[in-house]
Amino acid sequence: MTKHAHAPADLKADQMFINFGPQHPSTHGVLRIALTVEGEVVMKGDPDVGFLHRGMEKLFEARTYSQGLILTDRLDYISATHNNLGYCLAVEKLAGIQAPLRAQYIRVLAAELNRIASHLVFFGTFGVDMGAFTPFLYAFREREMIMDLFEMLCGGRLLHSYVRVGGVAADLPAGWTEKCREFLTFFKPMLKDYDTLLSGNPIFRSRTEGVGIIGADRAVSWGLSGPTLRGSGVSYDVRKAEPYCVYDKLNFTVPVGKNGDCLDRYYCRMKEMEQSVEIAFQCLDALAGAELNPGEFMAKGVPKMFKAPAGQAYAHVEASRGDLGFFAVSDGGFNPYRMHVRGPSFINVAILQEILVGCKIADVVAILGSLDIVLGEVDR
Amino acid sequence: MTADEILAKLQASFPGLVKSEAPLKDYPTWTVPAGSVRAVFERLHSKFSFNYLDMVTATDWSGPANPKGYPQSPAVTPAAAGAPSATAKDVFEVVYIVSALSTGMRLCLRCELPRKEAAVPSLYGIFMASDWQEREVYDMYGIKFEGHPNLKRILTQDDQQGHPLRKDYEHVADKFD
Repeated sequence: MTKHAHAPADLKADQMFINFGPQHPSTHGVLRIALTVEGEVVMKGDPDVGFLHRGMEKLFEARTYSQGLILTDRLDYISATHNNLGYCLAVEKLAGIQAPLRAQYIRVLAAELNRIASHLVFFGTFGVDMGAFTPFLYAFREREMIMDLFEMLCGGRLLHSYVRVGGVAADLPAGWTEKCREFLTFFKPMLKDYDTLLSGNPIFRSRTEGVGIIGADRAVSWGLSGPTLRGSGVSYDVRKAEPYCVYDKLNFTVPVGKNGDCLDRYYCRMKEMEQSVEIAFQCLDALAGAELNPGEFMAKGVPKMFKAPAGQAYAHVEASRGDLGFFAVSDGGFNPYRMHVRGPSFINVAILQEILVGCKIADVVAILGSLDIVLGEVDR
Repeated sequence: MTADEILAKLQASFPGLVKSEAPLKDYPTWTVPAGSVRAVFERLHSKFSFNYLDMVTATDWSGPANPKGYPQSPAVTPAAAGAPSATAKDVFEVVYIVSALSTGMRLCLRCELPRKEAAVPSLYGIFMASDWQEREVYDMYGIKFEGHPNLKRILTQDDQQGHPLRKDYEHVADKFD
């Protein structure tokens, strides 16, 4: 984080230095990009992060494993359930705890609902970035329904802490399954509406097609993940590559793009929502089955405070923004000795320094929006 | 090709490369001497198609964190200010996780460094993903990545004193305290 931003000393006479952010509505948080422009063309773009740094990894070291969970909500606050899940999987691996099957289905269900909610925020705000305000209203109407579902589940709307070490906080409340089905049935045809609202809009397309192209080899080298990587045509999804919970029992496809431009990254997310709906339906069917005992949502005998045996574990999940990993080290005590978060947004945003060069100022907003970063996770 | 076969092939050129005694759970884990980190990764990348650098981080093994490292009392749990554990050593350990997207194989490589003037070759250029992750490790631990073209603080402000994730870090009071 740069405390005092000055124009670079080697600025030429026909160049201009622009501080894009940290207080700019289209940076989606507190990101600063130091832009050197020549007329409309960006000569150098240097993303500057850390304005939201809260020292999470240091805080984890002073908290027990169950207390650490609430910190994870505040990483990627748009899709809190994925953070909870990644953290719990790492701790469970470290401590040798196995969540019951029913809890695993509920986890996947909650995670996929959260993925839809998160991609809806992307859909809405990306439209606003491109000058289309209407899709935002539709996106947030649907997202509100998911928030209501989460409120029924755990009381929280944004920060859920629903997934716990050993299972989930509570079983599905009465009437929730029906509400969820109702929402999914309502939501599925909506995706077609979104296409007519935004995806097919000529202005939107001309602003995203062929803009901010990331080649497949560059995307892999920069360690991109999630829809940002898949937009470049690389089919890498943690749910397929290293299935966790019950993803190996579920039937879904991984949408990939072709050109790696902003439109491909955008459309990957739209297609992913469709798959999330399918996964959610499969989970609901499985939860209604007889083999998953109702009420068995938590592993037996997981105390609030427990010691994990000395060792190291790494668990990662496919969060809404990509490959979210937790690296946990225990020295045998009550607290994690070390907890590192591999935030996908942090790694995705780094590529800006390469792809911003040569684009127009207006495209900076499009490219940044298409990466879909959350600064809570970038800065941790 | 299994991880063991790759290890055997690499050991011919890098005798210091060995299997770790305490592996990362479910991951083939190797310990690599600091001097050959870049060469080993170069070989993994070019010969064994390990093209995706998942994670770079580090652990400070010098014992439990100093409570003075927190602006306010961190003692929310009885174990927060514990006694030095049996695992305490005066070293940093840099941890890499690398994977091959084509085969799905994943490896964990670790490298121990003395805590005084810790330095390790940078992977910049082989994996661009190392750019910011190495800067973060430098910011948090002060480990120097030799050959990194832009090694400066990233998450903390540029006039920050000390490296926060070091276990002996002490918070310097500022105007916000």
